[in-house]
Amino acid sequence: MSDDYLWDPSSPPDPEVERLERALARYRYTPDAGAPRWQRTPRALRPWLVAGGLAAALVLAAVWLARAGEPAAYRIEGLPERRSIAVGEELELAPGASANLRIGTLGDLSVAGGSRLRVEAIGAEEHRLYLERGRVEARIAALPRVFQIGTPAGRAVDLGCAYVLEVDESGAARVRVTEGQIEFAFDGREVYVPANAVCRSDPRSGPSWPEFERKGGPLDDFLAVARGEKELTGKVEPATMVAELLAECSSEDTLTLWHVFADERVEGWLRDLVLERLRREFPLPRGVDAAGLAARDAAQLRAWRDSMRPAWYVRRG
Amino acid sequence: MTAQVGITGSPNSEPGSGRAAGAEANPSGDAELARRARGGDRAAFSEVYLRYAPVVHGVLVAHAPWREVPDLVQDVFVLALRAIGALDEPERLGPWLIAIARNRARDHLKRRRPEVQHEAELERAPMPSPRAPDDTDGDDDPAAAAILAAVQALPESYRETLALRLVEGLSGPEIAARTGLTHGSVRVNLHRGFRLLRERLEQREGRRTS
Repeated sequence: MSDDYLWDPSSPPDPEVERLERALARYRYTPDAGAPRWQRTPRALRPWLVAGGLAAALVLAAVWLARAGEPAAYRIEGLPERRSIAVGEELELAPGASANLRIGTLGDLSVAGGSRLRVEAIGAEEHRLYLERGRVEARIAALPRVFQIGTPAGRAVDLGCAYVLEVDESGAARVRVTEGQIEFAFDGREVYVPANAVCRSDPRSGPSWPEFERKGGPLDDFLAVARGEKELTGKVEPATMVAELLAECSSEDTLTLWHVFADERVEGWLRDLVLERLRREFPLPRGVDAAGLAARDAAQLRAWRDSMRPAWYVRRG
Repeated sequence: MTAQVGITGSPNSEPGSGRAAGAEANPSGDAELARRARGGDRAAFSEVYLRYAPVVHGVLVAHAPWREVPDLVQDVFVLALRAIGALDEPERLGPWLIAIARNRARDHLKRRRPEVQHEAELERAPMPSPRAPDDTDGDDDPAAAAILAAVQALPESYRETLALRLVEGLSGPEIAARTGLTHGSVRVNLHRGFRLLRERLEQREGRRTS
């Protein structure tokens, strides 16, 4: 074994060290955290795999039979007439009432009066609820994606956080994250909402671009243009006016700007200007280039977004 | 997020864990970057993330199940962002982040192993390996999984240094600069760690063929 190569990989390679390096390279860091390169590729079924699968199915069936008489349920606190809610059951609170659901060991969910809530799944790897209307406040400490609340306007996927989710009579949802981060998913689109940001979602068109709460400013003017609500007129070229607005946007505004850039419904020239603005603040990480972003390469988009995420953990108060 | 974060980098207690003084623990621009991030400059924190994500990843790979490492990397930087205002020694940014990563891995393993009851005992104990040497943890390359398991079963400072070298591809001087260890300690960790790793892999191979 050569210590030289172990110390300095630019030295002549040592075959033994190189062999282990090659084997372990599959675990190496990649900016594309969403799709690790060690992800399994489909392959033909092998006999031992089939046998193992059958054995596992038998064990699962036995466990299921053993537990069949005891359906999983959340404990309800604050409602004298009801102590628990199980999978498939609904909870409807009268206006003015309130209750607290204990989500196993993961945390709890405060349910406000007038809410209608259903439990869809309870398990070690999945806790799924559906809020048809009303307001809930979740405080969850779980592995990312284990806890989810569906609404008529999309699904709030917990990434380790606390948040308030409201659904009105029309089915429109509003989520405000108070700690950590969530993802809001609707019809193949995903929106990332960190602490102190808000996202609204419509049952027909899905989630808005998330934004930090603020009072006016250049971002509002830009968003009005991007949504087609405001037409730019005057002696100055529209692109120049937009570029000036973007230059005045703050670092916090980049959360919204990123989602504008990622949204293919936005006109290309606007997205190009947003790209320029974002690149001034966030250098492209290793493995990400302008061509990949222009080609909407999902892995590169995600990698660049992930490199911005720490900048979106905004402190308040 | 409930993990407790150590604010000051905690040195290893195992052999070969000597800390570097001054410049070695402060690669170009780190201290200035840390000061800016500590003052609330979020672009600076973003740069910290870009610079240190592979190092944090390597440390976590040395301790935690590989499938869970990407999420743990995110956790570490969330915790770091919350705590950076209290970072006492900006010049020791790397060791500080590594200490958070170790604590996060320890906290994660503790939750996975509820049978380990005594917290104080757990804190004193060396970080356990996340799995048995023959457990592939669902990896579709059993040979690679076995090598990683053998790395994870090494003493703590050897496994981290080797993971940074063999998994993340950092050179010895880069490992020293990012971790705050002296060049001598990194050399020792690499040499002894690799020798031990080779012995264990040979023993395992011997068991399989006998």
